[in-house]
Formats: sequence, C-alpha cells, structure tokens
Amino acid sequence: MFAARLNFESLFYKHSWSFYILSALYFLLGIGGGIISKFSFPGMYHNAPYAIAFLEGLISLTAIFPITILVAQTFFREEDAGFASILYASPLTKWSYIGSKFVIVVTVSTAYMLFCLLGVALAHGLHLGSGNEYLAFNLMFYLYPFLLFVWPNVFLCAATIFSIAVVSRHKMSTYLSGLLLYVLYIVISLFSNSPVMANASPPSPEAMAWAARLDPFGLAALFEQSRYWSIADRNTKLFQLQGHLLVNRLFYTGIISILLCSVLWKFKMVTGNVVRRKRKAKQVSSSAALLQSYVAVPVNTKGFLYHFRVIKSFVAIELDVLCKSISWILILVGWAFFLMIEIYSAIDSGIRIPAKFATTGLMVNTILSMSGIPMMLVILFYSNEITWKPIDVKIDALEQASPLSLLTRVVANWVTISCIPLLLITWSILIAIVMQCAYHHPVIEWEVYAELYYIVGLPAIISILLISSSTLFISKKYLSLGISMLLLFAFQSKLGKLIYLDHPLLRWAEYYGKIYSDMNAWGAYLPAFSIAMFYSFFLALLVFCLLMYIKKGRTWLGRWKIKPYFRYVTILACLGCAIFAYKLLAGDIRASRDARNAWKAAYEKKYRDKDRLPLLTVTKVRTNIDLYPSRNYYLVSGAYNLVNKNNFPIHEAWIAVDKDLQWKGLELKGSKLSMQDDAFGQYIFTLDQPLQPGDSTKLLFEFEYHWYGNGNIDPFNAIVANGAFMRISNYYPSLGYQPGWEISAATDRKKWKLGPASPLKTLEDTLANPFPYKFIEWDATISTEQPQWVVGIGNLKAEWASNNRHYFQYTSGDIPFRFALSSAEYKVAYGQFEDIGIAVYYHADHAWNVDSLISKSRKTLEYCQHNFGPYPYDTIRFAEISSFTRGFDATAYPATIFMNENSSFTVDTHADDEQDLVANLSSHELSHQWWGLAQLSPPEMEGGQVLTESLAMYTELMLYQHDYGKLKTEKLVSMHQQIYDTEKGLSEPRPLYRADPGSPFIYYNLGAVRMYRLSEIIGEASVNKALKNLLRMHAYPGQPATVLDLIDAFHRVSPLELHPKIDSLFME
Amino acid sequence: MNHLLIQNITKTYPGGVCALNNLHLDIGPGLFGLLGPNGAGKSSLMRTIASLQLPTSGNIFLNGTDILAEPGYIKKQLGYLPQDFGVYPKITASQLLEHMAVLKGIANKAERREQVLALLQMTNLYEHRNKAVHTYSGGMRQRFGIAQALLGNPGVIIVDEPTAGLDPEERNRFNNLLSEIGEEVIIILSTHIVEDVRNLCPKMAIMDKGRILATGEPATFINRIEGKVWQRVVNRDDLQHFIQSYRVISSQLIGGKPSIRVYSENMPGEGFVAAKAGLEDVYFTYLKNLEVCLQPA
Repeated sequence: MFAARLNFESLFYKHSWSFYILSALYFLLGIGGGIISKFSFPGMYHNAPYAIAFLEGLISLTAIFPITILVAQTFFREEDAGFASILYASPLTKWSYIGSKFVIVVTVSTAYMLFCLLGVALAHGLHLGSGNEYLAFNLMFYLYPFLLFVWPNVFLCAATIFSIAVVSRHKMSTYLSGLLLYVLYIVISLFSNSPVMANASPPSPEAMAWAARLDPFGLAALFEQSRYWSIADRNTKLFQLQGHLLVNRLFYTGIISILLCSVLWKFKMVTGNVVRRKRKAKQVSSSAALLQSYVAVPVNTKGFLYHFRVIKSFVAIELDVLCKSISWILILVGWAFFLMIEIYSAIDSGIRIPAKFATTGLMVNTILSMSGIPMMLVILFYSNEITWKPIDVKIDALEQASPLSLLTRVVANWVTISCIPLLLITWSILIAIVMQCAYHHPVIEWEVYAELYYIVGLPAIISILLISSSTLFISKKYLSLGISMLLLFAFQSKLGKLIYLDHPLLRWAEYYGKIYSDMNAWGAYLPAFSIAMFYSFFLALLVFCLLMYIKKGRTWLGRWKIKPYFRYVTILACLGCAIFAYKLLAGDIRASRDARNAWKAAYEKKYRDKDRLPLLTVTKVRTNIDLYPSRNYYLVSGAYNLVNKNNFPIHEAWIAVDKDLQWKGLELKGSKLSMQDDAFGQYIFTLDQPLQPGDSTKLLFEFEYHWYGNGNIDPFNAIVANGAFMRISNYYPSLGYQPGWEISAATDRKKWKLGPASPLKTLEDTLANPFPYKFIEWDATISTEQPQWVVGIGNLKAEWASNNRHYFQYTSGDIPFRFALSSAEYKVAYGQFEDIGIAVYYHADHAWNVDSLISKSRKTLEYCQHNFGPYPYDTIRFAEISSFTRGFDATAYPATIFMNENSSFTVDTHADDEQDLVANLSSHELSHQWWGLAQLSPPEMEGGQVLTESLAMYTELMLYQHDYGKLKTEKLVSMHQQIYDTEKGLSEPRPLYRADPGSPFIYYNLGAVRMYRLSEIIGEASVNKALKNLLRMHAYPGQPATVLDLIDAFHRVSPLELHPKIDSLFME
Repeated sequence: MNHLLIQNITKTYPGGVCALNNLHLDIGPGLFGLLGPNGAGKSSLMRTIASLQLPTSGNIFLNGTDILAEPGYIKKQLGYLPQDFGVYPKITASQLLEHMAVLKGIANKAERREQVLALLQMTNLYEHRNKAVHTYSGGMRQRFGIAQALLGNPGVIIVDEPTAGLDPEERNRFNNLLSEIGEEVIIILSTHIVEDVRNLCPKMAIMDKGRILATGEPATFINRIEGKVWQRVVNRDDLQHFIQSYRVISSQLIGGKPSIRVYSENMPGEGFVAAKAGLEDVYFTYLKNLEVCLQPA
C-alpha cells in the first residue's frame, strides 16, 4: 500500500510542469553558481573540494523555500481538494498516507538539489568560469559534501516543516515555518557568533566550537574544520565526518528524526481542526427590535466617489482579514524578533568593536538592512495571497457579479498590498523607539523615522505595482508567484547583479541599499534614488501597457476593454521612462568590475615598459580648492614646482591624471604637449630646453569633480553636503607610470593575460643613498560654503570669510605627497598639552566622547614625546567625517587625524569596560605622527608597514596597558592572534619582516602580537629606547629605515642571548 | 418591466466540451424555473447571463441592451447567488454585506446600513449578524447568499441550485424567501429539484446537454400528459423486461418493490393503473425523449 501511495503522490510531480521548471531553474542556478562563485584565495582552484563544499552548503540553504511550498502543497492536497473525508474513510493506513507524503517531499527536494549539483559540475567540467584554474574532475568532490551537508540539510528542513504542518494542520503556519526556520538559523548563528554571519567578530576557538555544534546547516562546522587549512589543503582535502561536524550531523539528524516520528505517531486521519477550543457562544439578544422592512435602494455605480468607496471597502476588509490572520501575527513577531537581534548586533558588535549609542541614525540603518530581502519576501507572499484571496475563498463570483470594474479591483489590490510595507515600517519604527529607550538613548528624531516611509516604502510600493501589473496576465497562482519571485530577485536583489543584471536601467524599484549618516543624512543618494523610483514607476506602467496590448486586454480577472485614452497612457509611460532613464544615466561614470579591469590591463600593457623613464620631482604644491558641498562639487586649481633631481638633463615630463575627473587645464611651462592619451589620462610634455640637474619648472593644472549620487560614492572622494572627506592628493596629477593602477588580484591578472604585478622592493634590494624622498611643501587655500569649516593638514596659517564663503589657508613644509581635507558644519572643542594645541572638530550631536578624545590625546602626546621624540607640529586636530566615507575608522595626516563618525564619536565608552575605541584609535593614529608621515617614512618595500602600522599598534597596546592593566591587554593581544590565525591560511605564508601591503593581517595583527611579545622579552623601556634611536637615525631627511634596521635597533638595546628570540619574532 | 432575451447562445470550453448549444430563452419578470440534471449546462448559462464568462456565440439582451457588450448594465441591477461560493474568513455577516453593498453602488451610508440590517432580519440572520460568515451552517450560508443577492435594487436575480444540500425545513424557508421578492424582478431559479419549480415557478424550461428541451408553464405541461401516465408494481426480475417493452418514465421502490410509471395513450396492459400526471413525469419524459407528442421547445 505504501508503494502504491508513493506512486500516486509522485504523479502530481511527474505531470506537473512546475516541477520541471523548478528543476531547470535549479540546474541553471547550479551553472550560475559554478561560474560566478569565486574565492579570493590566491592559488585556490575554482573546483577545489573546499570551494565545492562551501558552494553546496550555501545552495542547501535555499532548500528551505521550495521545501516549504512542497510540504504545503503535498500535505494539504486532500483538504484543498475537498477529498480528505473520502480518503480518510478508506482502508488507507496512516503510515502509508503520511509516510508517502514525507518521502515524496524529501525526494523532490533532493532532486532539485541534484539538478543544481549537476549544473555546478557541468560549469566546472566545461571550465565556464573565466580566468580560473581547474583541477581534474573528481566525482567525490561533489558527492561527498552532498552527502555530508546537502542531503542532511534537506532532511532537516523537510522534517521540521513537515512536522509543523502535521501538528498545526494549518497552511499559513506551514508557510511561515519556512520563514521562521530561516530566522531561527540567523538567530542561532548570531548568538553562537557563527562565522556564517558576515559581521561576526572573529570567534574564539570556544565560540567556534559551539557554533560548529549548534549550526543546524553545518556551515559553521565547515568553517571550524577548515579554519587553519592552507591553500594546498583547500585544494586537496575533503571534509571529514569527525569532531564537531560529526556531533553536529548526528545531533540534528537524531533530534529531528525523533521529533518527526513522535509527530507522525500522534497524527490522526481526521478532517477539520484537530485542536478545537470550545468557545463560549455569545448570547445574542433575541429580542431585537423590529427593523425596517426590506426595500430596494437606488444605486450609483458611476463617478470617482463610487470607485473610491469600493477601493476603501476592499482595503478595509482585506486588511481586516490580514490582521486577524495567524500568518500576519507570526510575521510581526518574527520581524520584531529579527529586528531586535539586528539592533542588538548593531549596538554591540562583538569583542572587537565597542558598543554604540542607540541613536535614531543607527536604528534607521538597521531598519534599512531589513528592507532588502526580508521585505521583498513578505511583499511576495502577500502580493500573491491578497491577489488570489477572492479565488482561494471562492468569493470571486460574488464580487465579479457586482458592477466592480477591473481597474478598480486592480487598484484596490495594489493599495491593499502597498499597506503591507507601510505597516511593517511603522512596526519597525515602534520597535526601534522601544530599543532606543531600552538602551537609555531616548533622543527620537521623528523626521528621520518619517523619511523611512519614502526611502523604504516607495520602492516597495513600486515593486508591488510592477509585479501586480506583470502577473495580471498569469492565470495560475504558483506560476504567478514564481514569476514575481524571479522579477524581484533578478532586478532588485544582489543575486541579479551576480548574473550581470547590474546596469542602472535593469535595477527596478531597487531597495535603498545605502546608509543614513547623522552628519550627511541621505546625501546626494536621495535625488538619485528619487529619479530611479520615477523611472521604475514609469517602467512598471509601460510594462503594464505593453502587456495589455499584447494580450488584448485579457487578464485573469477578466477582459479589459482597451479604451482610446489608453494609448495616451502608453505614450506617457514611454516618455516618462525615457526622461528618467536619461536622468538616471547622466553623470553616471560607474563602470562594471570587468570594464575597470579591462582598462587597467590595457593601461599596464601600454605603459608598464616605460616605468623606468627618468622623472621630474614635485617639491612644492600650491593649490586653491573651492568646495561646494551642497552641490556635491569641487574645483581645484594649482601649480607644482617640478625639479630635476637627476644628474642628467631631462627632455620630457610624463604627467598622469585621473580620467574620471573633468580636466580643464594642464600646462607645463616652457614645453609643448607631444603625446596626449585622454583614454588613459597620460600626457607627455617635451621641454623647449632640456631641464638641467637642479633646475625647475612649473606644472599648472585645473580640474573639477561632481558627484551625482549614482552608484556608490568614491569613499575617498566623498564631496557630500556635510562631513565631506577627500584624500585629495589621490586626484592630483602624478608623474610617470602608476603601479597602483595595475590589477592586483592574481586570478584577474591571469584572466587578462598579464604577468606578475610590478614587484615590491625586497629587503635584498639596495636603497638609493641619498634616498629620493618625494616630500613637498604644501600651501593650500581652501574655501567652502558657510557655515562650514575646512580641516586640512599642516598648520592653519589664515582663516577669513568673503562672499558667503569660508576660507582657510593651510601650509606645511616637508610632508609626503599625501594630503587630505574635510568640510562640515563643525563644532570645535579645544584642549592643550604643554605648547601643543588640541582641536576636535565634531558634529554637534556627537559630543559624547570629545572630552575623552582630548584627554586621551594628551596621554598619547605625553607618552610619545617622552619615549620617542618631540611632536613636529604646534597643533593636533581630530576631524569627524561622515560615514559616507568607508574603509577606515580613522586615518592620520600631518597634524590632522580624520575619524569616521561611526567610530570614536558614536561609541558608548561607558557601556563596555574592556574596550576603549577612543583611546585605541587616538593613540594609534596619533602615534603615526612618529611612525609614518613626516618623521619615520619608510619606502614602499617588504616590511615597510611594520615600521608604520606595527609600531602604531605597539604604541596603542602600551597606552592601553597603562590604563587597563596587563590582563585586559593580554585579552586584546589574544584577539589579534586569533584574527591572524584565521586569515593566514587564505594567502601565501610570509613572516612579519617580509609583510607586503596586501596582507594587513600580518602588519596589524601579527605585528601587534609580536611587538607586545618583544616588550615582554626585552621590556617596554628597551623597546622604546630602540625606537627613539631608530627615529634619530632614520627620520626624514635621513636615510629611511627598513625593517632590518628596526631589528638591528632592538639588537642594540638587548643582550646577545636574546637576539635569536628577537629575530624569531620578526623572521618566523 | 424587465425582460431578458437569450438568443442562440453557444459556449464551448477549451477542451471541446460544449456546455451550451444554440440556446434560446425569453424570460419576463417573476420566478422562472430552469430545470435540468447535473451537467445540463444550467450553471454555465447562469454564469453567462451574470457576465462572468463570455459565450462562444450568441447574444443576451436585457431590456434591449446587449449585456455581452455592456456587462455593466446588468451588473448594476443583478443579484447573483452561485451554486458554490465562499466568504472571507473572520469577517462578520454585517461587515461582508456592507462591503457587498458598497460594491453594488449603495452610496449613502445610512441607506446601506438600513438595507443590510433589513436583509439580515428578512433572512433570519439578525441574531448572528456579528458572527463570522465562515462559521455559518449550510442553510445559514445560503440565506446569507440570498441576502447579498438582494442588496441594492436588483432587477435580475439568479439563484443557482440554492437548495442543494439543505434539509427540508431550510429548503422551505428559502423558497418562502424567494416567493416574497417583488413581481417586477426577473428571478431565474436554476435547479434539478422538480418540486421547487412546481411550487414556485409560473414559467419554466427543461434543459439537458446544453439544449432547451421545452419551455412553458408547468400546468400546461402536466395537462398534456394527463391521462397518459400509468403505474404498476413489478417484480425486480421483470424490471428490465418492462423497461424494454414499455415507454417507462421512471421507476422507484415502494415497499421494497419496484414501481414503474409508463407513458401510453391507452392502457398499456394488465396490472397497470392510471396515475395522476405530475411535473416530474413531464421532466423525465423530456429527458428520456420518449417520442411523445409534446410540443417541441
């Protein structure tokens, strides 16, 4: 009987085109995954067993969704068809009935996974992923992880959701169980600090072990087992069913099997609600007064008011149905839970990052993070449910027999479904406000919360319009759901970008994937976003119009007569699309990653062989910079003093400029332009008279930059309305070949048929003596809009106002060619340490840590001056910049440290007594005034960053130890060790002294650990003495130090017997 | 006076099923019974008249207006009770009637409320007005269905198999409701229950396999076959012999023995007694096409 029943159940899939379509989709997903999945581990093969296992693990996570639908369809099939009572009254046994259903669910979902795996294998077998190396095909690489991860995960999902279906006997609860399973997975991953969570701080071995045991999908166990694998291991080793992975698989398989068996044991083949609560019958008064007799009432079905009333009635009744439904209550509960977890995580991000203040900005950014996929899934679910509700409950005949017009019905649907995201936004805001109060920061910025209705609500409403108008012509419920899902995932989510649907015109009603900044609010992203939304709206309208014409008005709701005015609507839609598409693309200089790499490869092929041409040297920069933050625009004009520091005449000057800027002028005095390559920004000027050694000339230039809010802002060129930050020296003219413009990733270089990148100087290379430092004198006059301040570098020579603009003149002698500036409506706080002024430029609402910053700066200045030498300037400035700049918490320049608003200024230093980011950042960055910048300025070579970043980490740790003691410092050092251990397996091994710029985990984390250990071996005082000596001997303009000089300095202050230990710290 | 003219309506579904075959009907105000077995095409015809589906060919005119070209004309004065309908979950009868009243175009809120309450009382649902409709019994649900069909100012009411599945008491109650509706209204009662048509409908049509077999007044049909219906109790083993030998209208069990009714101009043979002709005899006679001299449809 079981076999017969199983065969019967299989008929529903054998004869169902949706099964074949979904199988094909999974196959294509596998091919896509096989092509685009890449790991940036140099030397790892595309089809390495680690890569395949990781990919299969990720794919198995997607099984939740088809399994949910499969269970809902399979388990409730008899009840939906009204056949349950007949079937249950037959001799069919419970085990045959329920067992066959479960087996078919597992079989079909396993089939989908196998199709996916087939796609991956095919993509690998055909070497479809470009520029990657492949191992010979090995079936075990695919099959073993399938048996270890994929099939157990399929079984886990199927058994869990099936059990919920059996217990609840409720379809909505079944659907939601799939969603909640996903949510639960996230929660477990967060609480167990699983590495699966992208923002997880580096887990300790204990945390990793727990995550490995608890992760129901086994991915944390995958990470745990491979944590210390080298590239060679990842290319050859299969995951072993041992250790925590074995515990994990046994635990979850066992527990879910027991749950399933017990649930099936209790299952009874009865119809109707198995669990009935006796409700007290409401006593209704039977003595109702005699009401008016029935009389016919005249009707009015024309005019705007009729349609308005109808829409209002539909919205009211459908929202009433919605709010009483278990599914909605579960969604609200799940949403609240998920959001609170996210907020908690944003406030307290783990052991590396201290707690933040629960500001409205932080809440809004957290809500924004939920407005992507989670919101999309809810919209998908309810779009389908609400649209098909009248048919599902069989009230459609009554409604369609009324004068209700098709247009009104469609609009009513759209309005009702559009209420869903608005309700969720309201719910999110309520939760956020509660959390702000719970975290003792009840400063509610109502207008910022209100803006969420526009930022989050608008793309959601337009998405609903898009899928409503597209699926109006699809008469099958689940096909409609599938098409809606495809539309949203392809044209809105990041998955679409992975398959090259990343052109701006192919992003339809994309959710607002940017951030809110306390300093800069939504920035220029907002107008660009608005244009994108207008474009999407007209596109949705155009799609609807075209489909109407193609289908001749035949929708699944009925025939829609295409009236004459419809053509004007179509023309309007076309015009709207065209206008806003033009605006969307105007000023959009984004290029795809491939396009950028193509440019870089062509540049290198054309110019690299000229990299040894003799060059002039910039010695002075005089410049005017006019900032227009409110317009996201700046204009630069300037002059270089170029000197021939070679010992032979120079006939040509090779100037390189950033082609993404708008260059208005480039002129070398006493020369003619002899080569112009605008595509690569390369210009060669031939001097009228050769420039003799020691002689100079001038280069005059002028350029401008405008950011239009398209794409992602260049984080180092963030000319925003408030809190602008520009590493502006990056955009000034350069001389000669630029190795920094080459492709760095080895796999990409191979794809573009490039040889090795320009080599880094090694420790064996001899440095020129005297060393040709590229230091300059800097004189900049910078203006900005009132009432903003500009914070530059060096000394503030003058400040004045004119024509409603605020002017600043900053000068400096002898600094590296590296300068930056910020502009914002600052408040300024001042402090003093001896004869050094301390100034903190901060956003008015971020005053919490200003005093602490000044106080910590004093301590750092005292320590560094005492141990290493005098501070070279009369002021130290800290300037807050908006979070539109990303990539660093803080960055140091001569006399100025720029700090991201998300770091020191918004952390709650009182919430955590173990972390003091203000102290750590300020001491680290301030110590760069000695290590790097204008004092110790090592050349770009192996180990160069040890002399800047490792020494800054050391200074940071010593100051931390002075404040917090040895025990807490050991904990911090241990964390750095873990970070290093985790990352070291991802690239070629290098000892500390040969650190290259591309391995920050070496010179930051390993450097911190080794320098700390050094201080334990030879003592802090000896380390400091060595560093002081090093500075005295190698600070600019002396011969620059190398890491070998550093090791030598430590040798000189320590006994001979400790030298091997010292060497091992740097050379092993 | 309302007048519905159905001209040469044919409906063939995808798959080739011909549900309506060149059908013609002329219906005036009052109750009109459409009698036919399951699968005759009654519901298809009802859905076509209600403009829920388009016929393959033919026309339907209501008061001279082509309702296939202008479905809005009939919808604003239509009350429709389909054979099988559902309701929104957890919505009370008051709320749902109020919603349907809005759809039907009752603009004034007070008028809407009054009519809803009057209908609830008329259909004996007033006490249950604040209960969710989806919790109603079958009979209560059918009464709710007629209540929503009476909203507004219906000139045409279509009730499709309204008493199927109801117990005798509920059926009587429902039929009483129908009979109370005004005489100016066209009410099409589509059913396979002969008794309902006999009791309620001054005019009727018999339909089978998508065709109208006969139209007219029930009394006229019965008179035509009066005196030509004969009855006899037979042995079970002889039943097939009698079916083959006589024009058997129907057979049923009486006291455990088959009793047959046959059509014959004269006494058909020994053992037969004359029986009073009924509408059921007319119905089966047309369905079985017993080659009687009855006026064609």
